Amino acid sequence: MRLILDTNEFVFGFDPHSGQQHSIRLIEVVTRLVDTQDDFRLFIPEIIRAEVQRNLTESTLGLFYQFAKSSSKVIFGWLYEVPASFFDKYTLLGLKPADALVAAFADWQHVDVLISENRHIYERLQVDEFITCTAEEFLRLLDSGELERALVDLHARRAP
Amino acid sequence: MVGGTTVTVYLPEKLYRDSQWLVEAGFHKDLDEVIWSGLQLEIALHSPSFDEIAPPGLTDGERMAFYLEKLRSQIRTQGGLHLGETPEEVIETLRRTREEIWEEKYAAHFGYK
Repeated sequence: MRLILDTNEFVFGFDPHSGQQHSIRLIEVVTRLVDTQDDFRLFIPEIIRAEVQRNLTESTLGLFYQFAKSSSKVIFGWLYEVPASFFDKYTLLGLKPADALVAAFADWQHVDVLISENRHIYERLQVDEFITCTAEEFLRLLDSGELERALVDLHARRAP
Repeated sequence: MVGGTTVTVYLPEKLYRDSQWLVEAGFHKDLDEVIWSGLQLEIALHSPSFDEIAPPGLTDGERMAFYLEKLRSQIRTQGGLHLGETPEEVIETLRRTREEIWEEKYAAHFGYK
């Protein structure tokens, strides 16, 4: 499984005061998926890395990088190489350019699930290339076992 | 330069071109500054204090959980990240950050400037 967590998931998940229990649990689940799923990958596109960096304090920044660099399954994604055709595809779907860039990266890197609390961006982004959902929805799918079926369906839709 | 050491650094062509772009775009005054900045950032990122280093023998996931708890503890000590009073305000703060970074780093590359 290949995931992207939007910046808001890191910020809510890192901050015990955020009150966003699903995001808090999501980050913990990610640490377990790293150990339990061989094919698990967490992608952090460069723009998300930069957003997290700008919104953490100096004293926590190093810990964020230690967290992310603890596993080779966490991959920082360079965005300048995202093909223009992928980027254009998502701007044409009505996303703002910065959001389209994240979506294009997800598509280009065959990411399975993009998790965000920002419904304004992704609620109308129902595409065949990846699943978009909130932390709550992702955890429900994972806990119920429905995620596996959803990923099988996703991969079937993607197949040429 | 006083007290410095001169080193020769090999840069792959693409990395060199991207570094030149950082200068041309005004983020740094010259290539030296690009390299110094990168090195300083790396050093800062890899220099946790002694009690923040994960013990040996942990799995990757356990190490991530260790740093997650340290991170949360630090944020707890600060009383939170203070990015907004409500989740909606936090998301709005993050949206503004995304727009800033887009403008600074990507708009020109993707033909928006």
